[in-house]
Amino acid sequence: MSDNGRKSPPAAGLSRRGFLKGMGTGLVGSTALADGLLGQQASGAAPKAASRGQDIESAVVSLTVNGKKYTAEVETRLTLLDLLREKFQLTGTKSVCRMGECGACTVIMNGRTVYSCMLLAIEADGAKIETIEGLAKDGKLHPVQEKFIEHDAYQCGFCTPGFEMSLKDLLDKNPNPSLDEIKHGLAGNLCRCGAYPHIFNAALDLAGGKKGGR
Amino acid sequence: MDKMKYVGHDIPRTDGPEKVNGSARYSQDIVLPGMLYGLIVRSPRPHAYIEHIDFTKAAKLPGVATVLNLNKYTVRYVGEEILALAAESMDIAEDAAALVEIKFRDLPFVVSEEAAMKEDAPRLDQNGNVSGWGDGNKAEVEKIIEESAFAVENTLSTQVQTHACLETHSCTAKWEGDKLTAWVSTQGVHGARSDLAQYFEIPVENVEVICEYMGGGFGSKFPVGVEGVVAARLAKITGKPVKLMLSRHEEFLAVGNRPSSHQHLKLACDKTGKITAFWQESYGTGGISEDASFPSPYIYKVPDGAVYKKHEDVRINAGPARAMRAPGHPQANFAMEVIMDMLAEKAGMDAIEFRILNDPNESRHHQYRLGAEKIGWTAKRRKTPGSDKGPLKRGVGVSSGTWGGGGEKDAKAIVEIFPDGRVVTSIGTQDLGTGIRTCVHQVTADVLGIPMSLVTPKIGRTSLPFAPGSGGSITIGSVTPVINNVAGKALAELLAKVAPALGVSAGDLVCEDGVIFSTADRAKSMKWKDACALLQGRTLSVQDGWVEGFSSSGVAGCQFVEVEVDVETGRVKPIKVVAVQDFGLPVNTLTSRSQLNGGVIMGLSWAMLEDRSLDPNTGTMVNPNFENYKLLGPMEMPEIEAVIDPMPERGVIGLGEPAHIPTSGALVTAIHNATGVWVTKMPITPAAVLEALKKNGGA
Repeated sequence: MSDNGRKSPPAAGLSRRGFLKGMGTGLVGSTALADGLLGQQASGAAPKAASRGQDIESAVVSLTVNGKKYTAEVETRLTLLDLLREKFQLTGTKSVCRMGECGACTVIMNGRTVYSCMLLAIEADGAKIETIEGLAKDGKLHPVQEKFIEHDAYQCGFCTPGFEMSLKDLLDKNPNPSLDEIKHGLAGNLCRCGAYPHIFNAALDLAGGKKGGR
Repeated sequence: MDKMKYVGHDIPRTDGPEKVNGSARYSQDIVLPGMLYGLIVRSPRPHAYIEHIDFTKAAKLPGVATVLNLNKYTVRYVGEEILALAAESMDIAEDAAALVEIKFRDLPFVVSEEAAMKEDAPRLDQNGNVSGWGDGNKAEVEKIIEESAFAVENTLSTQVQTHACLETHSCTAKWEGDKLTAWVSTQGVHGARSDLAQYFEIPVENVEVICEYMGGGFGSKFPVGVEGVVAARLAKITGKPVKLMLSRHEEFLAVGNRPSSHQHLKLACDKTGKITAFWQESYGTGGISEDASFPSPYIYKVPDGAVYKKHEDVRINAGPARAMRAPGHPQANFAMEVIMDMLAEKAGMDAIEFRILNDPNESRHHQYRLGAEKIGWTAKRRKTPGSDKGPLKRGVGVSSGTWGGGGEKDAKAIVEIFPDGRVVTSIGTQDLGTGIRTCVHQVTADVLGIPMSLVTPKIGRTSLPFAPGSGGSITIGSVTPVINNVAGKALAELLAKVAPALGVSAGDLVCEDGVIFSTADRAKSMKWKDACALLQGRTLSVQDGWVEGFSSSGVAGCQFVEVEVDVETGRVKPIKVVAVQDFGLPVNTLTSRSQLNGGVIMGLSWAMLEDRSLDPNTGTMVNPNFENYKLLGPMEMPEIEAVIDPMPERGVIGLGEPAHIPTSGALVTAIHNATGVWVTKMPITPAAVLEALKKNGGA
């Protein structure tokens, strides 16, 4: 059976599990990866004996999501996206392309926007994650959320959480972006319904800008 | 409905809070205890016999619950379903799929229209690959063209586009005995319910389909499809809930696309610019399915007997087409507008004046003038196309479209008025992102004359009264007349209870801003909540259906594009788009502008970027992902002015599809005005522009 379009067959050594095996040391390798890429402290979770074969196939991860501490035993190949959606049932973060191409799974990790489909759950060990579910505080919507509603900055709403996280991160770092800066800040997110003009209006409104007839 | 506080205004969506805080539950967000993950194993071959399938290794993999053979003997495209399985996680399901061994005997295949039309091409259907139809007398029409003052001809091509909904096709299914609950991402909950009931041979009342929110459909999510049935079958076999979500790759291969078109056209007019004849020979492909046709001559008047058409549908080894946003119309628009502009130029007429002369729709006449003013046509239309100095050349173009968008008459709704003053409106329609939930909410509140805060709209499940599938832009025309009627009847029943209490005739009573009063004597009044208290603990409930007179069909629209073309790199940059659209009475001007923007953007995206590209050597799609199947993103956004052309006297009419039709035609005519050359093939990539410039001895 050839590639079903989800990933290369294991024989190619390119599956997430195969990749980790290739690292030789499972969790240690991936922690090194996390250190190298993300400058994170590993929490030192004890690798658990594998349930299948000789490799380390599962590990315990602890992370903070929207201020709440979560701990879970996960397969080492599980993505952060699937950890959030399928294990923690935080389904506001959307799964659209699973290849880092569309931005629908954008979350903020240690103060930076990341595609959660492109990270392993174990890379988020010890991390502070913000998802769409954490944007509103004490039942009060975040200004980004209020302006999205006011400007109708969505249609089907499937790309919306990703856009909101990108925009929140942009405004946290640059409170008064120009239209061009807004476009750049949101360039990693796609929308199929064509909500962009209204998303820009919401962003410009938050930036204290004018609508400019869009 | 005389005094409309909500209808016709900018009203933020009812479901806005759920959409912005991540709590809106789409089909893919359903997580049930003990749930398994379904996966479909698809053909990697474009055309083959299946000689043998061995899935013993897959079935033995720990965590795999079941493997289901779909009993296929032949596959005809890459991505066709062969078997399905369910496992404890998606990763395990993927591992299992990789362990399935299938022995194929390959058959000759063909993935281009031209190759499939050859005599000796591999046959994909017992009746051959080509099915054609024709209309009119070729010789007579050619004679008229020959005798006309001006005539032009050209061959225009549009490529296959895919729907690319952000939420892939998905179904989460759960059985309790012989009762099935399915959370389906669908454009028709009631249709999906019928499909499932029919498949499992159970009564429809045993099935509930739920789709509170869905992540885009654009025409590709009507039937419950193989994926929906498979999810339910896997759930039945395993006795556990199953979630089946297609991957992005599968979405590109197997669940629909807009067919291609290749149109050889001739158009002629007399000295005054009146069209005298239209000639068309065309073909296109919808993959293994038929019907790559399109309406033509698109919207312009051609004298009777002066139209000749010959069209061929061509089958190739590729995924079947499904309805896609205004099926056929964008293809027709692109080619027709090019040939119209060519003829206008030849006849020495302004492109807009030429269209007005030949366009029988009077609504569009004023729309042309309105849009022209907004884009700055007089100043920006280059008298001599391509005359700007330097490599960055600008121009403007115009195009137009039509659509029906009427209502179906079989929808029903229930309006309940509770003793505490709350109102619930229930109708089994579904919101694709168009905002119909909000429309139901607005119309109920306006008919009753009460604040929206007292009303809750309920949609998106089959336990609610029947409403048709959302296709053909008919949702608003099917739904709002029902709400108008049922809410009106509920109000009449309530007023009949209030009249004796106020000592007036019920016929004199109206409700505005939550206050019921007599038009004969305004002092005689009662607050809405006090009126509802007269129900004495009982709920007032009215169910009824559709009525004539609140909707119609047939819309007109036109769009204008200002573009900048870099003739050194071939880069096309849309600067501004003006979209003028009639859709009768706009129920919600805010969400309508969203839809207009969206139609334009999808049009530009198709015209400039999107292309399902098949490899002739392997028969597979080479770009089944967003990395290589490009969608227009934030960086490419022009300024878009969405202009609603209100005609409230006509009642409500749908907008989703017409908004998408004229964009590619306006873009390509603008590119010609900027550069002086015709790009005759979509997508209009930099390479295509440079090729056109080279062919015309340009830059």
